[in-house]
Amino acid sequence: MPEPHPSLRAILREDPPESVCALPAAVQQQLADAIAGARRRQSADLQRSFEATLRHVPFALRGIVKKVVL
Amino acid sequence: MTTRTGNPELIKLGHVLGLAPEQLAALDGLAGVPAPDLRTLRRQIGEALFRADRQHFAKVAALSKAVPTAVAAKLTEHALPPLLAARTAELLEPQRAGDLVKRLPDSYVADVAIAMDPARSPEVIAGIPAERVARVAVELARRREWVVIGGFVAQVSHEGLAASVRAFDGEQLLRISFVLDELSRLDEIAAALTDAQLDQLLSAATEHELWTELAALLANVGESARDRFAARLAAAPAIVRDPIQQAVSL
Repeated sequence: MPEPHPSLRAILREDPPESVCALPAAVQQQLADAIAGARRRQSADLQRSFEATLRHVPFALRGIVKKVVL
Repeated sequence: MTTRTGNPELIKLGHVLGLAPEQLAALDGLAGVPAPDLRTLRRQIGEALFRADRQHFAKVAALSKAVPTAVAAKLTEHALPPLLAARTAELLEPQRAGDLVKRLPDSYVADVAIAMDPARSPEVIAGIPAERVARVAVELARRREWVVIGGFVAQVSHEGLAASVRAFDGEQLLRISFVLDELSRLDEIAAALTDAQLDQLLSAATEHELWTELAALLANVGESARDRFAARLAAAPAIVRDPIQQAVSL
C-alpha cells in the first residue's frame, strides 16, 4: 500500500483509503490544506459562537462561564 | 471519471469541508477516487473536525445538562448559535437531545441540521415525529440544502421519510436523490412518489437539464420503480419526453 502524505496522515490521525494515498503528493497536500482550512474556520466560528452565547449570560457570571467553557 | 459537479461524493466532501460551489475546484484531484473511498475519507474528515474542538462542545453539553430541559431549550434558541448547538447535541444523550428538539422552532432546528453530522446522532433523528421531520425538510429544501437533506435521509424514520417525500416537489426530489447518503432508501422514496410527482420530476429534469441527476436516479432505483418512470415518460408530452430520451437511457 502506498504511504499517505505526512501532512494528510497527521491531520486525519489515520491513514486515508489506499486510492487517496496513491494520489500525487501535491493533491494530498492540497487536501490536507483544505481540511486545515475547514478546521480553522470551524474554530473561528465556534469562537464567535461562544462570544455570542456569553453576551446572553449575566455580566457577573461571564468570567466563570468562560472559564468552564473555554 | 466524472466532473466535480457530476460527482455526488465530491459535492458531499465539499460540504463537509465548508467549500462553496465555486471552491470545489480544490477537489478536482480527487475525481478519480472510487465513491466508497470518498465516503470513507469524508467520514475521516468529519471525525477530525469534530475531534479538533470536542473539549469545548463537551463542556457546553455538560452545562446544558445542569438545567431543566425547558430552560435549556429557551437558552439554546436564544443564546446558542446553531453550530455550537449542533456539536453539543451530538454529545447529549438521545432522550435529552430529543426533548430539546421538541421545544425548538422549525427554522432553528433547520439551522442546527445544516451544521450537524446526522451519522453522529442517529437515535435523536430517528425519534423526531414524522410531521416535524417533514416541516424541517421543507424548510431545508426552501434553502436548497440538498446535501443536508440527503444526509438526514439515512437516519430519519420510515414515517418521517414518507411525510417528507409527500412534501417535496419533483425538482427537489431529483436534486436530493442525487446526493442521497444512503442509496438503500431510494426504493422506499420511489415507492412513496405519486404519479404527479414522477411527472414533475421528469419535467424538472428537462426544464433544468438535470440529466446527470436523472441518470443517477434511474441507475440506482429498483426495477419496479424504473418501470414506473418508463411508463410516466411514455405518457409525457413530447416537449418533456424527447429531450430525456436523447439524454438518458431508460
